[in-house]
Amino acid sequence: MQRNDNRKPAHPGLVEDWVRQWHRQLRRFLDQRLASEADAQDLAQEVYLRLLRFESADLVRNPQAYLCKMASHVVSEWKQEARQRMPHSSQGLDVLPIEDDMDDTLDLQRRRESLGRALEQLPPNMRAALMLHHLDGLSYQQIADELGVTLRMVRRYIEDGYVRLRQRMGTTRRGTRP
Amino acid sequence: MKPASDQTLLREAAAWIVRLREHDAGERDNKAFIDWLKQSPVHVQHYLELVALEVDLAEPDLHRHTLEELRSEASANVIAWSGPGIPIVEAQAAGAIAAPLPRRQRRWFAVAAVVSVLTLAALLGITLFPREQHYQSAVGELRSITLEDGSVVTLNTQTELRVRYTAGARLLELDRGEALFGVAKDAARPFQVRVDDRVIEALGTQFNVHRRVDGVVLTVVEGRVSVMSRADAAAGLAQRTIDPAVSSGARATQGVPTMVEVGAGEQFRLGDLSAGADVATTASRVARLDESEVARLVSWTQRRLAFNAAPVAEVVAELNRYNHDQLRVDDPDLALRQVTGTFNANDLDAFVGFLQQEGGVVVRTDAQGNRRLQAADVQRH
Repeated sequence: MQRNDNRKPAHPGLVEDWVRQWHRQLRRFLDQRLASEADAQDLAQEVYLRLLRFESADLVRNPQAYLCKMASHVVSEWKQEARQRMPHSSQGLDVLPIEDDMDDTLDLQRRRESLGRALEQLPPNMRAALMLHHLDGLSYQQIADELGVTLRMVRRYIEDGYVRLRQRMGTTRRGTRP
Repeated sequence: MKPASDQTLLREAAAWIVRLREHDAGERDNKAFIDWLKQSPVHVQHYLELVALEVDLAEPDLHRHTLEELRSEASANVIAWSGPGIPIVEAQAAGAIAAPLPRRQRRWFAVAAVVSVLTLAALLGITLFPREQHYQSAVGELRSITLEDGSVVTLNTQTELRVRYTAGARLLELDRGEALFGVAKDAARPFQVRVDDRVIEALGTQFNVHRRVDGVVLTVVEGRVSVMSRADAAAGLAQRTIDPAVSSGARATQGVPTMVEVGAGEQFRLGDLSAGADVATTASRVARLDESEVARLVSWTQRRLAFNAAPVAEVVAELNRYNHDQLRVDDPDLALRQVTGTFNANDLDAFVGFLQQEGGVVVRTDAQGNRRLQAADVQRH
């Protein structure tokens, strides 16, 4: 495939294509059916088991891509199983994800809102670093130059940012909020 | 409240992501990362959830607050923006932003400059970073999508397409599969389909793009399109130098983007466009097709697959694209046998029946439920 020829991303900072690609399916499933912590655990458990069984040079070459791929496979297998279990009953249709306008699901909206709120509570520099990294696709070094801070500081911003956002998002997902 | 150990794992996972994203991780890093993951499912879960977070963070709306804040902080130091009116991400991705200005002193002001443009755009109601729509078709699925400008895209089996409409351009990216684009006219907003590092640009026209294993094949049904490199396309959008009325053929004079034009009834393999190639050579690679051939190539939109003296192997490969159950051809003689006919994409039985009727074909079903085809007169060696 041509895509593999330029394995090195034009922008190392930008979330890579394969993440987006595999993630999309994953995210949808998480939105629709894995809204509960238990489902997320099941998925992680299954990916973990496959990871233990999987020995390949490719895995070492790009472990992140393989993880996303595995997770995505698990999700699609589950979906297929669900379909086979209740092929034509209308009850089943409600449970199955609707492929169209996935983006407008309530869950997604809710998650975005809570992520937006969580972002607002971060220090300005940390927020700026996250924005420049994810929205503008700048590398850590470029962000350091833009913000006039050290590279180490940028790593810190991103890492801390992730941790804080996850902590806040996590509580939402677990249904603490109404 | 999460237990402390969970907290630690979350931090470790975040540190891993930061480390792996920063540069191309070496084998040693990767191995260490795998070892880390293999410690428990909880490790895996933390990692996966962070990946999910990363993708969420690419959503422009989320950063509105940050943008506004930066702008107000920097309002006294607004730097005039003379850059291209295209999404920054795009220009950078295409490598269109050249040598950066001295950076150290720019600091917040630089951010502010970018930010002020974004905010201005937001005030004017222009979305520089509009939401990307993602469309996908399953195995055997045929999907028609009407886009906001009235353009219609038909996705063939197992196809993935991303669509992003901005104020200045209609940007589509074909990640996988095959699609037929029926483009609505809008001279102000070029319609660009990106495939890997190539860009196909059209105004009002109809064309088919197929990402095959052996390369990307473009077939123009109606009108005319230009093919160029991604970098040239970004630069072109920026400078508005693309003249829709350029004469037919390839051009590559100094400073002018290398591009080739493909007209109705013509076919071009995107891989044949390269900056270094001779202009005439590139233009000569544009193949002229019969009307019937063009019709055949887009016959998939009716779920019918037409073949003209095609080897069985090719027909089988094509049919397999549309079906979960797969056909396998087990011997070379049969694989090379030529068939002519029109088959329903979702009806493997019909094709197998057709072959059996022609005679000399043995079908058996293997353990996976796939059917294996063999010429009857072939003796096992």
